[in-house]
Amino acid sequence: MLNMSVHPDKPLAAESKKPKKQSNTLEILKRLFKNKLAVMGLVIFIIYVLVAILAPLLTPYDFAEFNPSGKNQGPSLAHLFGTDDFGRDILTRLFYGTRYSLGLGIGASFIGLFVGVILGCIAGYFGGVAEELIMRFCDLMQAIPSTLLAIVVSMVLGVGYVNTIIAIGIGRIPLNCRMIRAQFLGQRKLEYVEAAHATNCSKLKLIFVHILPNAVSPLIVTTTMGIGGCIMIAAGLSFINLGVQPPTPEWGAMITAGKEFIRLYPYQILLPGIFMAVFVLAVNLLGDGLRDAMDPKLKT
Amino acid sequence: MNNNDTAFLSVKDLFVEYTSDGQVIKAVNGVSFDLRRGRTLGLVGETGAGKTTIAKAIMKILLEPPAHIKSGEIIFCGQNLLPLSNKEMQKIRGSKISMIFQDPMTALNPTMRVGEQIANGIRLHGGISKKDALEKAANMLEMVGIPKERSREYPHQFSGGMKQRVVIAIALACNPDLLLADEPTTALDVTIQAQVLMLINRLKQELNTSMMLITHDLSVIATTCDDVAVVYAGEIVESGSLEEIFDSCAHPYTKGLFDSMPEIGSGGRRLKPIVGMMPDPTDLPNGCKFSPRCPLAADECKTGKIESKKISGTHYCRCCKVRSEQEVR
Amino acid sequence: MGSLVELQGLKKYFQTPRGMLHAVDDVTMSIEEGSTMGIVGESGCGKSTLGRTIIHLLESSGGKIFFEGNDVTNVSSSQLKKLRQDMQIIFQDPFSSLNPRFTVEDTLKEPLLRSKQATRVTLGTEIERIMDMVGIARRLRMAYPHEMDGGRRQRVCIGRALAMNPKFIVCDEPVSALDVSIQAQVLNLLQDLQQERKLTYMFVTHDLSVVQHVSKDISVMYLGQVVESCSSRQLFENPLHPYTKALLAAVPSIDIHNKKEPEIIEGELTSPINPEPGCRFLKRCHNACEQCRMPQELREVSTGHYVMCHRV
Repeated sequence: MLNMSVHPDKPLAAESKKPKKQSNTLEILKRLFKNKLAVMGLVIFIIYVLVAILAPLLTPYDFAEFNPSGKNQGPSLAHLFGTDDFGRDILTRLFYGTRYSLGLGIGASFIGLFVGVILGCIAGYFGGVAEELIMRFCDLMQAIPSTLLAIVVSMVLGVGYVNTIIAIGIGRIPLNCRMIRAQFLGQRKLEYVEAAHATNCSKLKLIFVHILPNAVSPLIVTTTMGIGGCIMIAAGLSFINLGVQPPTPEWGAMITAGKEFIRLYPYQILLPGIFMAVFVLAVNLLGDGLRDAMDPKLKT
Repeated sequence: MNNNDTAFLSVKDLFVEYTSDGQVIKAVNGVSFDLRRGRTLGLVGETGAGKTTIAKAIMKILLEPPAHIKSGEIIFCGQNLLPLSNKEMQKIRGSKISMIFQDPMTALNPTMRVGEQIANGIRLHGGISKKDALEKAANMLEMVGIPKERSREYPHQFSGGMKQRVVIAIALACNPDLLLADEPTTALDVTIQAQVLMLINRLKQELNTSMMLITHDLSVIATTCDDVAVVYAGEIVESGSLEEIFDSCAHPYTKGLFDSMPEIGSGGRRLKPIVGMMPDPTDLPNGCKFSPRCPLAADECKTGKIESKKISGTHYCRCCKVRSEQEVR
Repeated sequence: MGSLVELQGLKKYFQTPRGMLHAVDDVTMSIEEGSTMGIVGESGCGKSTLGRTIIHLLESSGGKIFFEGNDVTNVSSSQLKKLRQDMQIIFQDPFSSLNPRFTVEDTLKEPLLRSKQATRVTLGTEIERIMDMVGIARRLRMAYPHEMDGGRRQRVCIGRALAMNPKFIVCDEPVSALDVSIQAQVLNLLQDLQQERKLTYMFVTHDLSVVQHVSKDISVMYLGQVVESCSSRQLFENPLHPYTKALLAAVPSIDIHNKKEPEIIEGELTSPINPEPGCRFLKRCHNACEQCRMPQELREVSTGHYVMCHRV
């Protein structure tokens, strides 16, 4: 055993007073909560999620029920956001729509994340031919504007909820792929990767257990903000009658329906538009706040 | 004011703190020292001791916040620098006090030719034309051992040692009275370090520049300095002339530093490291800051303020266990 | 004791856009079991590349590597797995050589399991055993690298290397990034471990006082070549190669009363890309002559003392 008298880690009195420092994640969360705008964004996001989950409890009406006698009524006590051309309560449809839109935004964003991450890991770690192929594929896809790309994929896959998620998700793959690859190029050179090699670490483990956790932070921000972006693209698709089809109460579809009556009943497009805009704003604020909280350079 | 023996830089009771994430980091805790004109003072200590903070405080280039000079005085040529405005300090920085930093790789602007970088410094304090400034710059390059023709080259075309020479040229271009050098040779190879140290010594003599050299390397101090101050946890624990410190050091930390260095010719004898680590600057111990690691520590060391005692001549030591000049008599 | 690691004409070249970089050029050496071979040189001499090539983190471009008498220059991947258990490495920067997301436990866990030093059941005890061995307090088991200072991080790195139960460890500037008092702690630790576990070290550094302290034999490298190789004592008492002499003369002395003027060598390193045949120290040497342009060889000048300079 080592000579204990020169054991340098004898607990020194001064050190045992020190409280244990928190883990990285906790420090990031602390920084996040100090940012008021980000917290506001988070709160609004949570409210929308709750609305999505509790929609049946919050609304007395059915979102699909036709009610010809009560159509196109302006906002009133009975119908806080008014009714649409089929007599359906707009607020109810918005609340149920939250399920679809949130699902769409999160689903598409995460499809882009998972596929992008895997491709990015392969490109970043292995380099060579694999990297060339994957990067050129990304170049190709990024050369096409995302809405246009979603339209093309939609036309190929056909309309519908799930197909729309896939169509939009595919457009997000190149961004994630590039970011992960860039991170890998930087991390690959660091000595802890060499050390893992030297201790016989398998390639798979190296990529996913060692390097990837150190590469994902920028992606958390872009994925969060991407939710808003995906919803906007879906709205765009609905505008041209692709994407989600009626009677699904998706926000974009509602805005499209409302455009017919923009002069007579402006509330039918305004209120859904504002409802959606608030969500996208909240998600962007949250994403901004996350980026600031994770960026060590801002740490003084 | 022209008396060579008067302290021309005098730091008195300097306290500097950093605030970060709600915590207060006590970087400098009551530092006082004098630097006499024409001499070189070596500030030696390990990482986190506060040496760079002291230098940056003298130049007033600390970022406030998070840094904050709590109290103290920095008297340079009879003038207290701390209350000066930024505009007034700008007249002093570069022309009266200059600083060179540790890492030559990042100290130079990669998009500007080296001649221009030197000339910029000259013009800031000069009022001379661009052409004259560039010529002066080329002369400075020659002075530091780089051919004049290279003044039109960019930093990336120089090696590490040469970059550091350029940095020295920039610092000395306006012939300042005081040069602060923060670990100027730490990032350099041994043979290049020897070249740069010799250069600094030669220029110091030619231009009669006083210098404060910060380093953790005692052998560099031995080669270049006249006086030494040992810094630990934001305090000067021992100070004196080179001979006083190297021949008869008194403070247990200083002794520990000498003992933990492997020396050429000492063979494989076991080193005597100092137990433990420097204290956390957010949670400094009471009394003597070295007491948790000190082999001589006793109860009296752990409370109260430990004063600096005069041992002889210019040799001072901040330790309860050392007998002062008066006590010995 | 025989030699544990032997190198014969080892080469490592890198193809760069400007030409072939001769990082390690024809290195021959023999490292005795249980001893420390010091490799000393300045930036660009190839010492770090040499270490990495020996343990197969880099693929050699030529020459041979022998371990325990067996030719291990080109090994299959299953043989490499076995070899990696015997040969380990400790890096210079304790910060970048630890995964920032791994606690001390995580870092030690994998090597222990992979080298079969521990099973899932005995893992906890083995981790503590290693932590004790390198002097890290057990309470730091779940600590992250950013919560520890450089000295402790380096201990974790040493622990990781030991977890594979190696016979040979390449120490690539293991204390250069540490403070003087922490350096001493880690150097003592390395010495103790060597005695206890009969380890063989290749100690790479630019610091002459550190290298003479830890090494039995020293090889001085310049631009990819070994220019002098001898025992530690011979190097400091009787350096022969002009570069070695210059290196020793350039080290500032702590003795204030014998202030020697450091003899400086002029000039800078020449490029290791497409080097000309002949002595690479030619341009900076005071004693250069025409014959120095011919390819030089490492000759034994006295017992155990090899120099690559025909003028010696």
